[in-house]
Amino acid sequence: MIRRLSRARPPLTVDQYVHRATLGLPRAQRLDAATELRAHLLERVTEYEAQGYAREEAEYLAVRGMGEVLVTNRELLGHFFTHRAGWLTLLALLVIGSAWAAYRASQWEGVRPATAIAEDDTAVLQLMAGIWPIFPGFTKAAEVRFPTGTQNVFAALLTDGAKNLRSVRKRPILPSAYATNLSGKGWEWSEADKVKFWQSRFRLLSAAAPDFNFNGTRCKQGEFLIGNLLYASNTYRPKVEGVTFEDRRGIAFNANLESGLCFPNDSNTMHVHPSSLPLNTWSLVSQLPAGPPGQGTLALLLYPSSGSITQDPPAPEHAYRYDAAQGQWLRR
Amino acid sequence: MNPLKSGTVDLALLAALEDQPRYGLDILAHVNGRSGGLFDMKEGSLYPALARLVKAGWVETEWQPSDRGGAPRKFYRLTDDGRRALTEKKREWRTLRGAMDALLLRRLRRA
Repeated sequence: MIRRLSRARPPLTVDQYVHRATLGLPRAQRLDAATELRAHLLERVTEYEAQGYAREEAEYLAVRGMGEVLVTNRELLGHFFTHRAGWLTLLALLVIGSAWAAYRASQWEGVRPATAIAEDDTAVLQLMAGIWPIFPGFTKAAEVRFPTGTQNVFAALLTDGAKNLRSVRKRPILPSAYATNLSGKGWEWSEADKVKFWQSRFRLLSAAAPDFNFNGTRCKQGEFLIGNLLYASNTYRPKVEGVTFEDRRGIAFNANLESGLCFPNDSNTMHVHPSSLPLNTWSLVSQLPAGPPGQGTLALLLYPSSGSITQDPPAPEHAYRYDAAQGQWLRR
Repeated sequence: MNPLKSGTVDLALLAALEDQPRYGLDILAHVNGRSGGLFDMKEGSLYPALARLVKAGWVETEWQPSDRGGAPRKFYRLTDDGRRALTEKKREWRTLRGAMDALLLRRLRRA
């Protein structure tokens, strides 16, 4: 066994020992302990000197007899939190920890199912009246934050078992096309603007509502009208330099994601799925579970892309498949 | 020499103060002397231990001038609570010692 040689420390004088042993004690307690320790040491020094030791040697022996000064100091301090400094330290740590936790909580990314916020969701439902299925009982809400580096977002709707419907619908979500107002003529979205925009906080409403008249067309009996709406409320208004998002009844931005589709399923409402929403990956956001045999099922996917809008994302149907046995959409 | 175990420090110190008030060096001399040198209490650990007893209300202190004309000495004296604590700790010690004796003697007989 190899023992590391420790560097020899110079011996402490009586003054140094007393100072270090009482370090950190409250003033009154420190003075009392220091006086007692010094009296003890001086009496020991006197004893050693009487035995013939020189003053310096006597002081060395007296201090050595006290043992390790750090141990004495720790024992004199007792419990860390019996002293004001300890509590102040704990308080500081709690404040720092809470701030860090709050910061981390504010930095979450992904999709989190949320309860409907009356103010926000009522506002968006009123805004979308007549063009989007408004059936609060059938609507599911989620908080959405796209990952850092998102420059463009693509949405896709996958269907399975639904006759006369395309199995895949995919398209980019264009913030410029849906922003309610842009200030500055001739202004165009830069990559930095898009990244900034997609760092905003969004909400998602997913609905599968029966018996809804969509732009004069009512879905057939046994069909749901599908609605998926991504929006930003005034509470979390996107901040992009040079852009003003007009307050339209409390909504700053909204985008229809494959809404207005009559779907042959009237047995269930939409289910929102929590997701970390990783960059450059298709993620399941909500789905309509399959009803009785013969009725279809669908899934809404989102793809936060770090690339340009001209870079087509991978085929979403290669990312997820419907598993009839388990009755849900699974990642391939 | 064995260092004094932390669990028995309180009992040893309270016992040292049972008959008369003592100051630090006197307590050390008493404990080390009465134990026949079996216990080797570090001098630096004495004062934190005494401070703990003071905080518990078992011991009170008083500064007195040194009879040698040196620095004043801080004397420690048992309080009524300290005497009750000493009595209780002695009883616990005897119980523990009796139990250990019984255990060790049985082991010895089997061996």
